Amino acid sequence: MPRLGLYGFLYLLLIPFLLFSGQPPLLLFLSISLGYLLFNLFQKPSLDQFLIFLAILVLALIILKPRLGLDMGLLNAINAQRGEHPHFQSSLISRLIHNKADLSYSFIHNFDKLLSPMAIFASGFWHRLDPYYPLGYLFPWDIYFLYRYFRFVHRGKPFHNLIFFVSALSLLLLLTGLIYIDQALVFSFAVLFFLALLSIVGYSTTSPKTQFGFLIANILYLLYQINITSYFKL
Amino acid sequence: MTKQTILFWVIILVITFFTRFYRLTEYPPHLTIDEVSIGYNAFSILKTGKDEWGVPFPISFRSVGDYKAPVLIYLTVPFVWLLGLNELSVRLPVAIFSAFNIFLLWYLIRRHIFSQKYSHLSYLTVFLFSLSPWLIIFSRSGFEAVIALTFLLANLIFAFEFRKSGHLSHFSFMVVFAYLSAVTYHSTKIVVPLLNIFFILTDYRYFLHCLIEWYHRNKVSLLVTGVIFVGVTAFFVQNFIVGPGASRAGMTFLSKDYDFTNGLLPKFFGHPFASLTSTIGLAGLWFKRYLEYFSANFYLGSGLGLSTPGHPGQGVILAIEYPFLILGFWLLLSSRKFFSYTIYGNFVTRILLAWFFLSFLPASLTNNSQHSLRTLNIIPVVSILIALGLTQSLEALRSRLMKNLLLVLVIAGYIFGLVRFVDFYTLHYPVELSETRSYGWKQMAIFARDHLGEYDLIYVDPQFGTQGPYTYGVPYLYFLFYSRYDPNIYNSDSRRKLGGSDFENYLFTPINWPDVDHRQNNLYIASPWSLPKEILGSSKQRYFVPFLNRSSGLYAVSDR
Repeated sequence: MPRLGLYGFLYLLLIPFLLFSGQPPLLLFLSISLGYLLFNLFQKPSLDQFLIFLAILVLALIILKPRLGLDMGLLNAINAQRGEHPHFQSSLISRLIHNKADLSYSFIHNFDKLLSPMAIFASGFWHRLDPYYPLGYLFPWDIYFLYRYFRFVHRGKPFHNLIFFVSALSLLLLLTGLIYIDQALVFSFAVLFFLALLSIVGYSTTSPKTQFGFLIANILYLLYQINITSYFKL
Repeated sequence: MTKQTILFWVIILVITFFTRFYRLTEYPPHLTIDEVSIGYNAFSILKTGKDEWGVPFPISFRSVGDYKAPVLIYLTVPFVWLLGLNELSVRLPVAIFSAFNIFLLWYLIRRHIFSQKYSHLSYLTVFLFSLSPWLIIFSRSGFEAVIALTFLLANLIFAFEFRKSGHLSHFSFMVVFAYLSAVTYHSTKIVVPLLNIFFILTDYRYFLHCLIEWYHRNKVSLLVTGVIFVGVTAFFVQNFIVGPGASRAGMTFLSKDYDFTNGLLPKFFGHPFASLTSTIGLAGLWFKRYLEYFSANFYLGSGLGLSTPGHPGQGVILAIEYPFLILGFWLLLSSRKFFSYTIYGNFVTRILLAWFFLSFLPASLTNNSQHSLRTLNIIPVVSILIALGLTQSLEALRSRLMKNLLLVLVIAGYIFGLVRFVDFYTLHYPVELSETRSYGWKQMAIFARDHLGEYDLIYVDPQFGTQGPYTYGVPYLYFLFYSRYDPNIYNSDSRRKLGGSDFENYLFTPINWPDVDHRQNNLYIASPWSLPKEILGSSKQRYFVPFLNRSSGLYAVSDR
């Protein structure tokens, strides 16, 4: 665990996606474990930790029994587009351009819902709370703290030896886009927890006064969001 | 000039010709409402010196109530004079300016952005810029944003020249092009002033030093320039910010967005602190809209909107470019070595970052998410970043085999991506979105023009659509455009003076079939939703223009 200090620890407890997650405790625990291991792999390559990561990932998959989240209805659209070609039955171009590879659009769509910057910082909770209400998984100002992490903490560190980290992250991202959205939350939350840890390390590089100020801002932000979301449910 | 340089420019010219000018009137196959409006207003200015409402030489064209920026309309006038009022004369100015953009970008990046050591990046950037699908589709239609980009590039060239020379003349040209860009398109009204202010504030001591030097050298010219600057600014603010420009901004501002008006506002309505919560909600929605421009879907999925929503489409860049864009952005943040040092270390990086982040601002403040036209200003930066990422990827690989493999992969990716883009742009886009591009009104306008004398009245229903009469068009402009109706007669028509759009025996109004007097021999041009079912396909049907996806279309039926 990174050295967070009291403010950092409190900051971590207040992260919106933990508060509003709606996940069963076991799944949330798995997400947090995966995210924590991802953070460790980012800091230092370790085969042991990577194997533990894989074991937890497999356990999560066994518990979830995931369903494919790709929109198979898209196949109709792909066929329709192929049919728009004048000689679609014999046209090589129509088969080359309009085929099952276009299902990747569904992957991108799923991925954007859970892990795009928009979802992370501005509106990730749309499908749980309200279709229009903008509430991100992290605080909006976490963008700044992530920037601070890479600017002041990570700067100068070599980017090689990231093979375990890249493999672990790729698996999480792949699963996030591939499986049914409510199940994919387990894996997207792992990435979010990883980002939250980076953000908190970045937050810890600011002065104690700034840290205290943002802590108060976080509490006010959360109180406001709790008020609004409970009001919306009425 | 070396042989390679000549070959490079020959390739660029060939690309420019095929992407901007080749079969310009056929792709896309029909003029949009904006294009016919620009064309007819230019025609009206040419013939009468007034716009379609009879206002002499306006600085903001009321048109269909959207208060169009004036520059493109005035630039179209000589083309209409030379070629007549037709599709080519409307589209040619934008295509020509788009070609200018390529050369201006070359000058900007070669002279001011990349360091001499990395001058090869200029070639690659210009090559990618000329092939950008994002720019190509808007270069082939009457979109002011392309011309605004030209002025923005010129503005930045003079800004960098000023930063190097400190000459008052360079500063003056910088300001002139900034205003030209801002009055050409609505989104540059935000981007250009902010970018210029950022440019000056980044190195404000230099600007102050220049001001003092100008003062000591020639007080009179500084005073005259200052007075002109204040005057032009006042004129700009009065006419383009708080005048008719404000009505346009009001129409498209984020608070008019469906998500806000129908999704959030009704829920906030009963909250004890409704005005506070709805303001915070609006701010949250803006933040969401801003970050939407960083979603993969915009770049890879449907950013250009060339297909039905929900269908596979075309992103604003080619798929192969996406990883290089991300890498290029990372390099922009982390490495200064690629950029010119002639001013100081990270000056160019700062300007590029500001250009990048400010370009999304106007689009995020307006309705509609992921708007590729309103973010058109960013294309040069995107091309720079892709070129940076691509070059560094190749340079990072040590093995010659790996380099060649990557090169083959990139070339194959580009060929596939371009074939796919051409397929979407020339085939699927016209078919799937013919309704939203007002397909059918041209054919109907020509049909009505040719049979005008046969009917007492010609009713034209502006409501149409494939699923129902949900799209409200402005067909009168198509009828004016394709009949080349004399603007002198049109804007002196008493019906026009009362705010209507009817002319001659054309009536533009929703058709309620039972209420119309059918004792005359009238012609009715409408979608099937406005006409009795039994009349469609009968002997009274005179003409039918199906939408290109065959889902519905426009009918012309008569009483007899």
